[in-house]
Amino acid sequence: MGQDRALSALEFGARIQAAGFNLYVLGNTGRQRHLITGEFLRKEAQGRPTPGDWVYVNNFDDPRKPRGLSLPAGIGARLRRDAARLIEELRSAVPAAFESETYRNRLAEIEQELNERNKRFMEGIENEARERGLGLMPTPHGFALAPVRDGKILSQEDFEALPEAERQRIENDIEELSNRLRQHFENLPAWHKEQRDRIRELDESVARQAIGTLIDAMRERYREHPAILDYLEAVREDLVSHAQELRAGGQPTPMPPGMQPDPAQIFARYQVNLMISHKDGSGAPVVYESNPTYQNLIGRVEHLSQFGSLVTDFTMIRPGALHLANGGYLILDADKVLLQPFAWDALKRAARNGEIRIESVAEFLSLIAAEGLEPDPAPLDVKIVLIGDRLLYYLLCEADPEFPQLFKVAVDFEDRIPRADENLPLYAEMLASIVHREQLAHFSSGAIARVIEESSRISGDSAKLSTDLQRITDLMSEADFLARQRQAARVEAEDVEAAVRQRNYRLDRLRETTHEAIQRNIVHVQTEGLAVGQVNGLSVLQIGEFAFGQPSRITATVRVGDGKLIDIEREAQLGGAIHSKGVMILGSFLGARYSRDLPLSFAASLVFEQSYGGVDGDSASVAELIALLSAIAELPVRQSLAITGSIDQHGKVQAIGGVNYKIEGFFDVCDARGLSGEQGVLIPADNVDHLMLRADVVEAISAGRFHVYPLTEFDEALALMTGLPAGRRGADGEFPVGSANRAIESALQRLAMRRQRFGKTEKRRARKNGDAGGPPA
Amino acid sequence: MKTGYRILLSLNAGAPASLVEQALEALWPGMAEELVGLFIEDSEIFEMARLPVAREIRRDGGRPRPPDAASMEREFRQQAARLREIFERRARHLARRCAFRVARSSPAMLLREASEEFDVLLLADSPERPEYHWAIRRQLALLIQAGPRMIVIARPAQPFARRIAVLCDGSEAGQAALRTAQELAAGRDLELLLLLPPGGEAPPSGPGEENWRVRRLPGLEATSISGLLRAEGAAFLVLPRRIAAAQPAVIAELVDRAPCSVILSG
Repeated sequence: MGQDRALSALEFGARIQAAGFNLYVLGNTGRQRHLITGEFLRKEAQGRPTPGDWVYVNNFDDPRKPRGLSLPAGIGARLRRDAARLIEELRSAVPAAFESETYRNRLAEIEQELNERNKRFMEGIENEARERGLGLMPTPHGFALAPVRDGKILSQEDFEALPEAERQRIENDIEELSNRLRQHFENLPAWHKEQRDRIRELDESVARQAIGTLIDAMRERYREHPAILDYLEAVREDLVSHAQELRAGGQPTPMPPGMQPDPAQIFARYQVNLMISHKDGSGAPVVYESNPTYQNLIGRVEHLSQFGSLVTDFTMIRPGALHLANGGYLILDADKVLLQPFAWDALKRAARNGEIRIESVAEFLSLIAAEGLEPDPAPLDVKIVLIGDRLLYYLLCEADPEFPQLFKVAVDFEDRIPRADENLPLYAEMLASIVHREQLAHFSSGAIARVIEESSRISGDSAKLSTDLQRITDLMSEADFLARQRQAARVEAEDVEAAVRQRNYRLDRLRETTHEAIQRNIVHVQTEGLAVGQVNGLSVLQIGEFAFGQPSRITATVRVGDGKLIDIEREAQLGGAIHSKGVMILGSFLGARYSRDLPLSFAASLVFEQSYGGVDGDSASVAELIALLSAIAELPVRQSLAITGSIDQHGKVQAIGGVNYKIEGFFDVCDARGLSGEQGVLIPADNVDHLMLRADVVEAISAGRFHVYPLTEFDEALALMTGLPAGRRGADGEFPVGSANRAIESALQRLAMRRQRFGKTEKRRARKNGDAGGPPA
Repeated sequence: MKTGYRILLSLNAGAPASLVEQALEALWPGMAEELVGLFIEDSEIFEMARLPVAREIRRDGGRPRPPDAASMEREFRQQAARLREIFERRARHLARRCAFRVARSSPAMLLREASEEFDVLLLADSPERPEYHWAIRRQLALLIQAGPRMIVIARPAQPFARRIAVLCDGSEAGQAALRTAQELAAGRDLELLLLLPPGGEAPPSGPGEENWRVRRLPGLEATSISGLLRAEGAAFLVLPRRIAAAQPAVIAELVDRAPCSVILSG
């Protein structure tokens, strides 16, 4: 309703496939944009293809870099189930293979072979030693050879008593047998290695046979998925290469008590980490991430603390919102993304590169030294929908050059919709849906009408309705509360009215304070009689969501000068640029109307009396001009009227903002003092359609106790404020006698003549001083 | 279940510490009344060390060189201390009385003397350590003839071992071996596996003995018996001393090949 532009942009942005066409949804704060955007995208997503599954599996060549597999929808979940089943079967099949009699016999043969070789050698050496009269005995570190006789070691004396030849023979024999024994010890490691190699080959062969059937069966199930087939082959080879660990139950090396690894872990490496799973035919996902931290967006790698270290593996990778929304739509609150460290950069990086790369912030900031994972990045195909306010959107456009490249679709929700006949029933339906959603009591037609009135007031335009659903919902909830307080069965218009009043009352403290100051004449505001060079201007104060109007006394002073118009607010650096511009425009108007033939010969100053905060905007320029002209011509002007309106160089009165608050602000001051029937407010005619005044103000106006005067031209204000006809310049170039303009022009002429006379006098004095050798004038 | 044995654990030079654990694992709970560890310093080694022509060939390589008596003394001291510590830590949980002795003499003489003092001689074997296994084999030949009532050659158990195998020929020695096997089975909650040699008869089974598993051997051949022991998951093989004494070569071969601890009993 009334959001055609936004909906058309949503539709375009949601459907276009080209890169960079992500969306930014602008508009009022509140949930309306979320509700509409979410509802639209969910409908859109139903018709879109279901994205595939994404899994991580172990990279057996480099476990630090887990492999990502992109699979059709539903296959990921199936693969995970099948992998779990495979692991269960392997847990029993592999140990059973290594427990078989065939395997144990073959293993024993291999082990026995080495023992036999050893034994044969030792027996041979021993026999040979015995034959040569030598004894072989074990020592702490090996063996020793020595001559023996009758089974006993020969003593040194006995040995030396032997003939030289015999001694030499013994020495030679000992040397020869020692060298052979040494050679044997040197060969042992090679023999052991050979034995280990043969055992390993045996183990691999047994493992290959045990797992072959299981893997082949699984390959058959996934024969149409080459990525899975590749992976299963890698599993097969890895299982075979770890056959000895499997044989030993996953404990290849002895560990201290309490540090035994869980035997189940040996098979954990064959698990499948199912990151994203979709049911085939479920359509594209729509994900709203309410807490868009860096990790919540791109995913994380978790760690376990084990024996004082942080450990992780591919099974501990967790998906982020980008994964969950991949292939569909991701909705985020822009301000929340920007507030989270690194989140905005990560989001842009993912969108720019078209992939989700999981990186730990702590690692790339070198905050931790633990080795982390570098999983394969997941290809990204998602439509990012940021929801935020307008100011943020414009700031991003201005300050972040990447933003316009990545978020090319602005979805601009209207703050207001026309209060047209075709919209009112729809609006009422929308209000009814709020009643239903918030489970409020039934609203009478009067209550609905009052809400609609308030909606127009919130929009600041009688021809518009507000689309700030949050505020409307709050109002209706408050009205519902008040109705229940009086135990009514339904909400009436009076409840809505009371809700409005009570809300204003809760927020009204500052307005009451300023009005009290006015009533007590601490802040001077005249609301009756006449004054020269003084006019009631009107301003709006906005504090949070509450705004109110108040009168401001604007004064002007004039003296002979060179046409300079001093804006005291600007001089004191309290005036904003737009206010200064307004003052300059009224200066131009003055010049154009009154000083075509003679120079402006006054110096004037304008100020907002008793205003100590900043002043901006040009909505007081009509009031300022009245004050100035009143001061120039010394024409008294009515204090019972306040003025708001902006003027152009040609004297046309232009629309301003906050017209309702301004009127009500002056009304409240006058009403507190007692309405005289003379009081009122001059407003631009272009603002008449915006009037949505309070009921008491409307009533006072209807009764003639207060007035609102629309202005099109400045002269209308001049006439009302001075009580004189404004006057038009005649064919003779003169304003009519008795007109306000005539008085003003005459005053300006007098000022010009005075200035001229002053100028001649000064020249004479200067010449005189110069002839007398005195100081120049 | 019989208890109250006086048990001697014999440890030679070069015994790794793990052999102590391995040997004590072979005992059943409550078996030992007294448990003595004996570290034998072969006196012949020191005699040999005094002979310059003798040569020591070390396992860890290097040229053969004359044995260094002082170095051997030191090594014996260190080995004995290490083994004592492990023994005392385990043994006090296994026996009411335990002690660790170091003796320097001829191993054969020491063991023969021990046979008179102790009921059980416990030897820990390590087939992967050729010199150690060789020494056990040498001692075994002597001990079969003149050893104590029971000789246990302890080996690491094969995985999933669940039976006690006993070579049962129906003779008195065979009956004694069976009783030993029954005690061991009860103490460890294992099943009994009767191996009947050719011509042998299975003894009548009594109550609770219905679950005996019986296998008839085609012959007394070490390779086939070893295979059967492996297939049946035997943790122990109990042999009658009489058969061991009658066929020492077969028994020696069996001790080499058996995938389990071997007990000579009777």
